[in-house]
Amino acid sequence: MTEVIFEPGRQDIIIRREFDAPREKVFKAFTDPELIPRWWGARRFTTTVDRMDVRQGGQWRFVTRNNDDGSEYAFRGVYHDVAAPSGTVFTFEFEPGGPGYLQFVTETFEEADGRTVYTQVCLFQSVEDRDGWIPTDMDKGIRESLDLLADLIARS
Amino acid sequence: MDDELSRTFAALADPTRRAILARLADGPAPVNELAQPFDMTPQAISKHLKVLESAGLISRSRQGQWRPCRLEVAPLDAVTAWIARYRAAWADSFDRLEAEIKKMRHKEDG
Repeated sequence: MTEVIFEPGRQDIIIRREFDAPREKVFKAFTDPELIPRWWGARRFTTTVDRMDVRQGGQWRFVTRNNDDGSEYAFRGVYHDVAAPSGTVFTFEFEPGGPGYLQFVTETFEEADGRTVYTQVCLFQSVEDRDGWIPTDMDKGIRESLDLLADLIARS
Repeated sequence: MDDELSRTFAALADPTRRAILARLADGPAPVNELAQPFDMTPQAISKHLKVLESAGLISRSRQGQWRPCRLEVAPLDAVTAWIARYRAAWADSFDRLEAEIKKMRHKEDG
């Protein structure tokens, strides 16, 4: 079960997922450069790791290529802190990015009964920056249920 | 982000306005009923309703003495659709990662 918490008026997005493995294993998988191309990013993109130096002050940079049209995008950042296996803190920026694209990401891995809850808090610089993360070309008119609306309001 | 989404989010960013929407999720209501739970002047409530109305989140009947306010869900559809897609994309990535973790464990177990 993957959970996304996107509350009105806040400048963060919270993503949570439970894995059926101890956190040493989950942490290792998340921070393994060889595994990144096999899971990171959307399915129609091919991701390659340009840099991934998982230690305090280390840099990372991934390039994703759209399999349909060949267009390429890059993401990069710096590891502010790496505390295996409990979490990492890093910056996340979309290249060429510019104002509004810099996120401050905190990852935590919590273990209970051999399972691991992974939580990612993506902090934007302002509420406007976070809301701007919603792409403008998204499909309109997809009518979700009133339950989702009630959920959105109830979480606020 | 287009103006419609900006207005939707700006309107949702206020707790009073969210409470008004939560009340309207139960059905249309006249202004005086919406104002009742809040310790606010009628002018302040009216201002909140104007923000919600310009964001398209509520509509007000032009007829009748009570001019009830009504919830309009269309602007929220775009937001909820995006959140659903964003969640699905992450779920898909995490599924692939979990498969890799399982493979790692199988290798280690010999």
